[in-house]
This record gives sequence, C-alpha cells and structure tokens, in this order.
Amino acid sequence: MTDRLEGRSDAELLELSVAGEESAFLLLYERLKTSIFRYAFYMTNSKPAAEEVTQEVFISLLKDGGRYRKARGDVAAFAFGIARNFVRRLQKRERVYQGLPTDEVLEKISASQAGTEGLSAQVMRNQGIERIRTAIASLPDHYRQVIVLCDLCELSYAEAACRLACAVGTVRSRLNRARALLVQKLKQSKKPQTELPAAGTEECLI
Amino acid sequence: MTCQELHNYFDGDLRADTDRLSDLELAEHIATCFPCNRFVEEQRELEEHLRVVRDAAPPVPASLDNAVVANYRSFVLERSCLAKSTPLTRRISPRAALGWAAAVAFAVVVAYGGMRLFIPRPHVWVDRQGTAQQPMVPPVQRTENKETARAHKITPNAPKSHGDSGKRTDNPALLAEGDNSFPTRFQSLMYCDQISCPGAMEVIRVQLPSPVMGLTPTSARMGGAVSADILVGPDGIARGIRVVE
Repeated sequence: MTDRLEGRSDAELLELSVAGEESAFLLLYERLKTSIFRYAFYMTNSKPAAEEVTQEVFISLLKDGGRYRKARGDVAAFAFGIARNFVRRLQKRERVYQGLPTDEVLEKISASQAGTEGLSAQVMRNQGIERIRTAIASLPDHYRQVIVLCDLCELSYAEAACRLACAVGTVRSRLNRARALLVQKLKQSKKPQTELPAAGTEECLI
Repeated sequence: MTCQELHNYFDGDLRADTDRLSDLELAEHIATCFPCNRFVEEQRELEEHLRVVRDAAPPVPASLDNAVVANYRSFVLERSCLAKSTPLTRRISPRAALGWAAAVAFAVVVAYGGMRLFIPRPHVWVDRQGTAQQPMVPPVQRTENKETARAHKITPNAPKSHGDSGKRTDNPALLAEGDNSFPTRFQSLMYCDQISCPGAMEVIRVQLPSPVMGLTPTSARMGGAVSADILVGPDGIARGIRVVE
C-alpha cells in the first residue's frame, strides 16, 4: 500500500488523507513531521510546546486541507504557515519563557547520556547548547524565523522565502542581520559576570 | 579582494561560503585584514554553534506519532458519523443555496421569455379601411385609434347598433339598454352575460373569406372576402359577429 503511494506528491497525499486514506496520511506525516517539529521546537524552545504545535498542524491540515491551493506553494509551505501561526498564538497565550536549565536538570540529562565524554564536558556542552538556544529564542521574530529555517532546519534560501512568503533577497538580508545579532548575544552571554554592581554601601564603609 | 567582497560571500549560504575560505585570494585577505579575520572567526564559531544545536535537536517522540495517528482516526470517524447524521439541508451552505436559487430564477426567466417569443398568439383579420383588399392571413390591426376605441367600448349587455361602412354607432340609448340580448344583428358566438363576461367589449372589423361564413353577400369582394364586425370581450374572446352589408 505504502509503495503505491511513495511516488505520489505531497499534494496528492494530502488529498487522499482528507478523503480518509490512512496510509497516505502516515506517509505525509513521515515526510513532514521532523521539519515541523524541529521548527516548532526551535521557535518555542520547548519540547511540549513543539509537540502541541505539531499535533495542531496535522489536525489543521486535515480540517483545512480543502483550502490548500497547489499554485500558491507546496504542502510543506502550507504546513509551515500553519505551524508559524500556531507558534505565534502559543507565544501570545503563554508568553513562553525558557530560562537556562538548573544544575539538577543538567545533571539528569548528563546522567542519561552515558558515553565517552566526561560528565563535566557533557554538562558544559549542554550548557552551551542551552545558551545558544536561549540566544536564538531572544531574537526578534523575523530574525529568528530565518535563523531557524535556514541554519537549523537547513532549508535553502528559496525554500525559506517560500515558507515566509517573502523575497529571497529579504531572507538573505534578514539572515545577515540575524547572524550578526546572534554573534553579539552569544558574546554577551559568554562574558563572565566579574563586575559586581554597585550596592550603594561603599561610602558607608569608608 | 576587498572587505566588502569578503562580506558579500557571507551574504550567501553560510555553509557553502565557509568552504570557499580556502581560496587563496580569500585566505590572503583574511591573513592581512584584522577586522575581516575577526569577522570570519566569528562566523566560523557561529556556524559551529549552530551545528551543535542542530545535532542536539530532540527526535520526534513516539508519543507524538501515536497522538497524531489517533487524532487522524478520530477525525475520520467523526466526519463519517457527521456525514451520516447531517441532513441534506444542513450540508448545503448558505452560499450554495443562494447560487442555486439564482440559477433557478434565471432558468424561469429564460423559459418565460422563450415561451413569449416562440409560442404564436392568435391572429385576427382586420380590415384597415374597410375597402382595402387583405391577404388571406393579415396581421392583427385595430380599426380605430385609442380615442375612438374608448368611445366605442360597450358593456356586454349593451346593445350595439350596426354601423355601415365600418363606422360604429355611439347611440347612448342603445348603449344604455340593459337587456341580455346582443346588439342588433350580432349573432352570438358564445354565451355571454354579466357574470361570464363583465366589463366593456370592443367591436373590431375584420375580413373573412366568404366560404367561412357560408354565404355570399352582396358586399363580397373580388377575393371572395366578406367584412364582419366582431364583438370582442375584455378577455380577447369573440362573443358575437355580424356581417356588414
């Protein structure tokens, strides 16, 4: 059954899925799930939120599949558009803020990843990853979109432009600025906080 | 190689452009230009960070797969139940209903127009002047204009005096007469009284082939036609006839 559907385009699979063919839906889900989930994860910096968004995207694909127009882009772009709207709605609703993980959490992660790396190296690595994710999450929305799509989801500029419904040149310039901003943020977060803020009691001590 | 040219490389795809840094020209510029050297280092470092984040992306959990498939099954089941239970009237959207209504109205108008155009109406032979020779099937033409027609309208029960040479009598005494008989010399073609044919009637003059009348009057002309006055009711049905001598 799946072999018969392998050669079908995403649009045809969507049509069959809406008509009630489960194998077509499963194949379409396999094709799109990773990119949608990753996109949602990087945008929200939260795994539960990414799961929620991914579920909602596929439900919406089924419900509003009839509104899809082939001339306006591929199904992946349609799904990304839905995902983007859900992420925005989620961020408005919950104001998701992910701080740096506590030491306890990091130790748990490290313990679960038994490997050749030493414990401290793993902790450092995870801290570094969280730092970068937080920096990405703190970017303005339009910059974060291009970083996530081009650098993390590894889409080409043309594909990203199609997903964001803008010109390739816009993607290029936004990506340039986004990278510069990200470098600045990473530098700032790297700086050790050696300078203590003035408490206002120095004069009293003298 | 200028600094701007080097920056332009990084306007393109970062993954592709970092490979080009091994180019001799680029390498020379980076080695000599401190800001560009720093810039390239930053970009390399950023690319390394992003690669680490990419590699550390969590896999799609199996629970999500199960949840999505369950959602799909419930969606299909719900829709099939809905399709069975929803009556046809609720499945038709208001927009579709409006479209259908407009289409039906248009079809009715077209059908009515077609009927008016293609179904022939009954013709009456009318003598225009009372003297002209008419073809066998002439078109309908009234003998008088509106003003005279009004004057000649009579009530169904009012007697109608015969007029010679196609002129009507306006004798008020005759018009006011209220018996049930037809005007003078009119032969009844159809039963007519106050109830069956109310309202004023008109008299029109027509030419008929003499064999139709079954006689050969002296007024029959060369074509074998004979003049006759017809009493026509408001419904367009002839009520009486008289031969004009």
